[in-house]
Amino acid sequence: MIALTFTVALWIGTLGFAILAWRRRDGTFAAGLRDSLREYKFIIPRLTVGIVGAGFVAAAMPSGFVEATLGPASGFGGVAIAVACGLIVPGGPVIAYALAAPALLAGAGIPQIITFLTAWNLYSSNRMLVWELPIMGRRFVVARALMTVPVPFVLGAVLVAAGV
Amino acid sequence: MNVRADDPKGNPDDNPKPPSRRRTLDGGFLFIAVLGVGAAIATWFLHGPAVFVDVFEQNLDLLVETMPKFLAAVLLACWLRLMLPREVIQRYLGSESGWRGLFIATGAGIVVPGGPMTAFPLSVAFLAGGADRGTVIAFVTSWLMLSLQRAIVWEMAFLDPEIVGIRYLVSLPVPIVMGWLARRATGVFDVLPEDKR
Repeated sequence: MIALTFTVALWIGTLGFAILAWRRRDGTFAAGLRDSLREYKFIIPRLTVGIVGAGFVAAAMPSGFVEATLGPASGFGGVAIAVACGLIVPGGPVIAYALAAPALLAGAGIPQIITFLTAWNLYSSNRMLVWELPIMGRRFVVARALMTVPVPFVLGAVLVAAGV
Repeated sequence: MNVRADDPKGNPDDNPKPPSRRRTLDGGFLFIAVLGVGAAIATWFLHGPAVFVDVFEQNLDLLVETMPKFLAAVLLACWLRLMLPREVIQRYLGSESGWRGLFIATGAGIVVPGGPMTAFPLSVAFLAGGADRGTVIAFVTSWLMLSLQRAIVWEMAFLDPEIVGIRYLVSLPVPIVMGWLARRATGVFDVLPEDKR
């Protein structure tokens, strides 16, 4: 129900932007459609392979192992392991989610998964090396990375302590 | 900071387009493809064809459920990107500082559409426009952790909205805190040399 409401709200918003773009009468509407098609071409294969693949990963994953290392009972140790997983999982948006979804099904805890996603969001090696380093410079990247080191640990610990 | 405002890399198009450097087939895609196929084969042999078909159908259902949401989110982001050119965002964030700057920067990180090819050049533009280091760190951190486009197009496709919501809630204060800290940082934690602040 929440998901449906969300989808409907999203389409209403999109329709609003479509009308705004159309009323500008300067090609924004068509350009947006063209850009979207290009995005779809990039995203749809990834989403398809990712979602279908994630289901099989969940089915094939040794659930005892996942539950022991990242399960709700793994507590702060599981949070630390989740940070490490976030650091080693390579870039590209789909990979982290295609691993997080089956891990949850296989018994990983919500704090551990949120920790994993946070670490991956902050330190996705691909994004840091290909985009952040050349554009922002070494000093910025190093300082930003060092400063945010406690973040995934703290968020994970807060969620574990809150009993999520 | 090794980028100046006149550096071409630091200047995105006024209407940033979706990246042209991306390829349909890249390492990341191959990785999930190999992982998925490997897991599918493992499922067949470990649990038998019946489970295999079951899992396959379940996930096709999930994919079909996800499609309408993601189709809308991409369209919305593309129009937003065209109608919210860099100068507009820059005008709002250009010389912001103080607590107001941190809150506006966090909001901008949430709504600014586009990938790293938009967000990082925008950060450089903010600095060139006079935003302080705390504001820029708040923006980058917010975009990394809270980007709405990523949350809707990718994250919600795979995870329950509830989990995305919890992640969002605990992450919300982080960009503000990081921005506040960045203003007080020294040594290796300092994102900008003193003469550039």
